[in-house]
Amino acid sequence: MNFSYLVSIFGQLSDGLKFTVGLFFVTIIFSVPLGLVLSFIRVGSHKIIQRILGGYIWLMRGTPLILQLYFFYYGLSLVTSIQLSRFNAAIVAFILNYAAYFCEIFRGGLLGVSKGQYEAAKVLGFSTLQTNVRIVIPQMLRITLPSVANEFITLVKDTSLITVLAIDEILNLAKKIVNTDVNISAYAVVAVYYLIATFLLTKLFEYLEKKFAY
Amino acid sequence: MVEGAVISVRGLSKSFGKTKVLNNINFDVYKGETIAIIGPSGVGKSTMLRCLINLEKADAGSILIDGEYLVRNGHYENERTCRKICSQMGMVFQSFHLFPHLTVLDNLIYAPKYVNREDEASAKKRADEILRKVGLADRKESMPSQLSGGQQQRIAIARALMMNPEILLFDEPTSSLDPLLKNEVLSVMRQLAEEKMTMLVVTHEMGFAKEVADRVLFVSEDGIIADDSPDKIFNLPSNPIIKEFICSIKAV
Ligand SMILES: Nc1ncnc2c1ncn2[C@@H]1O[C@H](COP(=O)(O)OP(=O)(O)OP(=O)(O)O)[C@@H](O)[C@H]1O
Ligand SMILES: [Mg+2]
Repeated sequence: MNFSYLVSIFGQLSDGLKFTVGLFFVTIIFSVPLGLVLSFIRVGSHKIIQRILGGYIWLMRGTPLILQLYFFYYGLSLVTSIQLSRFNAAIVAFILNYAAYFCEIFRGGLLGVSKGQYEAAKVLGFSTLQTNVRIVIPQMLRITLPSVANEFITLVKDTSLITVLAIDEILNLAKKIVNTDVNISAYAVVAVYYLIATFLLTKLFEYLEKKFAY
Repeated sequence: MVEGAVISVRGLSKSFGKTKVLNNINFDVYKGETIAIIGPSGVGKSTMLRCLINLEKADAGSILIDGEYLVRNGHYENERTCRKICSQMGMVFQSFHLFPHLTVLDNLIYAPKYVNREDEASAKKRADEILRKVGLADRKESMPSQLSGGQQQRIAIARALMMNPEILLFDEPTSSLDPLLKNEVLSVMRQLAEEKMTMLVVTHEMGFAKEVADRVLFVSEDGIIADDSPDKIFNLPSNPIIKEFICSIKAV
């Protein structure tokens, strides 16, 4: 094993980044806003919608993400006429799964904003929408920032699960290289990729926490 | 309703579940008056004040603010009208409720800017004046958490003043402050009283009630049992409940 071998693996694995990184960003872009909207519904008072939402969150948190991947790729076409591509099935499963977690995180954050904040906003004449956008959500995001950071980092590593759908993300590529070369150093290189990503995210969230401290 | 009153309350009643908190409350407030509302704990002083600014809904009775019914015989106007009527009032809370994620300046200008659509430059200019008035001109870039309780409460008063209210409601504005810090808040309130701001102040500060209030409402479990000048209430209490309350406060 030599250095140039490792560098060449590093290069070969980068082909898989489009799936890993793509899945990460698409999941974040959709699941965070979806979780935010759901969290407001969840703290609301509509009984039937509450039940449905509760059921959805129970399903998403109560079953392994791998199983959800299987469902959206293999299962969905059995109960409907929809056959998603491998990567689209992964995207749908990840967004729905992560939205459930973000919903619960944001719900906790919303409960952490005191009643006094709503009352102060009301007597100043803020509308409900203005109160949520200007007063409640900024405080809620600050409260939940550490949990959100945690979720982002978990997501980085969870992207490797799509290897079970035979998508060529970086872990799957590493596995192929290991099998072909009969040399496990590709796994070490893949670890470096994840470590770089989680390091960057950690730094980003440290910065955000400092910036929005109050 | 009484001619010239800025607030008229008639037959106001309010229950929380089975507990009747307010029962047939009546009073009037005239422009420029400072009213102290005193009485034992748990009799509904806060609830009464909160009904005036629509933070609690009355079950029955009428509230007339500056000639407009907020609630008439237990029936409320639509939310929009209620909001408009209440926009003439500001409220200061016992635990300040400043917006912790905003600087002092943003706490002051947010409502003028986003609710009244005032342009930012003019709101900032007014904020400077009002901060000077409450003695905190040098703290506009501070976060609320960097201020003492007394400073936070003065900012809360400044924030309410930014909306140019006709009437200010105070619910125990100094109760969560150290004795030393109470005075800086009370002196701002005293100044507002001198400027003839109409104020309703629920308070346990008998000194303030005695010296600053034009009238004192004494609330007991039976409702408002006295509505009189501070002199009469404190020096010639007519009712044994009031006598007992004033003695107990003096003893502390
Ligand atoms: N949101 C609420 N739900 C149920 N009960 C309430 C609520 N708010 C107030 N109460 C009850 O109503 C009664 C009157 O409360 P209120 O806070 O108006 O009294 P207060 O005169 O302001 O007392 P204090 O001097 O302690 O502030 C109390 O018994 C209180 O427990
Ligand atoms: Mg009270």
